[in-house]
Amino acid sequence: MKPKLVIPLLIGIAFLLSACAGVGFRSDTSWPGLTSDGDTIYMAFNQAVYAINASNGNLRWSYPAEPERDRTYFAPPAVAEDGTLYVGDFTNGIVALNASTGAIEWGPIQLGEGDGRIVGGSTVTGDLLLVPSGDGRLYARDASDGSAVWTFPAEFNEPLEHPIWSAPVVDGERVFFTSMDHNVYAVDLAQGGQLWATRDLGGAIADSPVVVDSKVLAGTFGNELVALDADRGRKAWIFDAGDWIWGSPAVRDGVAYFGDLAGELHAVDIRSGSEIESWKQSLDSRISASLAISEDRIFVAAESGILFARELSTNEEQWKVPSRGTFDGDLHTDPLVLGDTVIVATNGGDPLLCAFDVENGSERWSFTPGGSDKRCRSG
Amino acid sequence: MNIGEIWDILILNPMINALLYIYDFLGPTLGLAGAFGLAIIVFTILIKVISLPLTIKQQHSTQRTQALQKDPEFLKIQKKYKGDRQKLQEEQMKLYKKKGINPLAGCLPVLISFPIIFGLYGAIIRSLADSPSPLLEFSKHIYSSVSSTIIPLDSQFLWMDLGQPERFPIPALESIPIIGDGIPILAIIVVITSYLQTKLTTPPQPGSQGAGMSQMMGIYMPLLIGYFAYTFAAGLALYFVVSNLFAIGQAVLMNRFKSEPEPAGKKKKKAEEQPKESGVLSLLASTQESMMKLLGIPPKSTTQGSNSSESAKDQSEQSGKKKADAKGS
Repeated sequence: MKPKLVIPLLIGIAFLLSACAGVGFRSDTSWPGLTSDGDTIYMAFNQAVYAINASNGNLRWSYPAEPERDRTYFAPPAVAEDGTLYVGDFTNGIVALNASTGAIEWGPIQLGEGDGRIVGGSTVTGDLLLVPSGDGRLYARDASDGSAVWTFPAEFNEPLEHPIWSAPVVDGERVFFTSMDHNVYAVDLAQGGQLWATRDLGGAIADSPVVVDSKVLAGTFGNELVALDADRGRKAWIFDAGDWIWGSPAVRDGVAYFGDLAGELHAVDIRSGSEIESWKQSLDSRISASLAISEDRIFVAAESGILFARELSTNEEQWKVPSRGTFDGDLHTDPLVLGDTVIVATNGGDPLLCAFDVENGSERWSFTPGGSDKRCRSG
Repeated sequence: MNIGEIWDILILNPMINALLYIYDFLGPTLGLAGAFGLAIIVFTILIKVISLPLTIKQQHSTQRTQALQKDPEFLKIQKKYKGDRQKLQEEQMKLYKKKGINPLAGCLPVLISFPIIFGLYGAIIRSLADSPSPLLEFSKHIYSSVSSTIIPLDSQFLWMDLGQPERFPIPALESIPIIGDGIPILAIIVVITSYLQTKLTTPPQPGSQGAGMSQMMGIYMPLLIGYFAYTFAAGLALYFVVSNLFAIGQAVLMNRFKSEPEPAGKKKKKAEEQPKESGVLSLLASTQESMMKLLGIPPKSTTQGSNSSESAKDQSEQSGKKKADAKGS
């Protein structure tokens, strides 16, 4: 072998190492974040935020005009009643946009000094914007200009040991949020002081809590759905699902519906914590997204790339799309139900967004940035 | 089942889970700080120890092949068939066969050790998942017997976040471009140790075509690995450092023990002249000697009856030459 071949050989080794690293060098760090104000769907994905007409899938605007290399968006945007859209990014920055035009209202501003990534959606309540950060802090900012109101834990205290990946939930004067540090926190909305915190629920919590009937429900990586007393944070009951619970439970008529990473669908009575055995069902795919309920149907976005519509009361399958094969791209984003349309976002697939009729699963429209001829039901 | 799934089941998953078991033991059970960094160190050493027989075999094979290249018979063949490349190769192969050497034997252990290296590399990278997609992907590799309470792993170790590229922050340098983010200490250590390791484990090939390649590899390889350490997660850089240090220690020991026994009379004389050294002191002396040799620094004093690997090697070569001459006559 000639010395001149050394450099190509080294490049080959570098390529091999990169290939073997797999996930380590992948650019996709999360999946699309979806939200809507009824007329428009807002989607944060990679280097852009898109506003899409909910009735036909046409692009209304996108932000920024020119993608910034290091600034990526995955957290579901938050829409305020005054028509402002708040979007967090992976550099611990937040920007306020005009929801109608995409023009900047303020920002982007940096939250804290850490390298936090904003994975969870922000929450707007009154004049307050609550932003969960990967740096282990919950930031409360003035929604009108982004100025600091309070931070939890306070600036002079250490941040939480692990990131916050879920949107905080406001219930009256309290804010509830979960953390990857295995805990649920209750914070005073006005001052940001801690009301209570759990002591290790046995697993990380990736998605938002649900507050219902004076209980706070949270699914953990410890395979459990935990119900806490909303006033004190004490455990009311624990339901063992058998595998990691990533998504939040969907609640209807005193029952919490959710899936786990083993592909099991569960329905748990919120009062007692006992499972409704007749509803339990196994799908042959991991379920990481939260379930979505519309009237008498429940929608399940399975990780393998199939959207299931099932009868809420019986858990019988109504339809599924694609009827054969799977979408181009995994499904991790929570499905979004807008009236008689259910929208699902694929993880970087083509099309990126698919809208279906909730009744029969027929395709309404699809959206891919830059356009595409591909159909959602091509499988 | 495709090849990726087979790779995951046989190599990647066992490695990821072994790493997690060690982490669980060192961190949550023993309560040690920086458990993931310690787990990487322990796991790397474990893997290195397991693959030690392969490494030793490969190095022995390389040494034998290279010793043969100084054999008068080999040199004679080279001279004789200088213009006929095909015939030269045929004759060389015959000689290898005659001497009982398989020139490819050195490659086999290396090929076997590749999956181990790549598997370990993939296991560390995956375990350091710090955002949703990688963590969800990582969850597919975890055995049900691993406690989910350890997820997410604590990636802090000393001053570094093992999931991020390592930089040692120096506040005084903050305003200076490039180094303002901090000094990449691990990457620097990786380059130095990779260079030392390459030098110690690659035997000199004077005058051969391979010498040029070895020399270039000795320069480019440390820089390439250093670039990985600079760019990618600090956990990977830590793995490179531990792996290199292990290989350097191993090479030093192998150089020390590969010396052939000296004539009894000389050995006795040497024992009388030299004070007895403890095992550790002897090892240190050997390491120092190897380093000096590497840096091209001549020994301070030429102690009579030096036990350096250099002189042992010379003796070995001389005795080999004598044997060959005797055989030839």
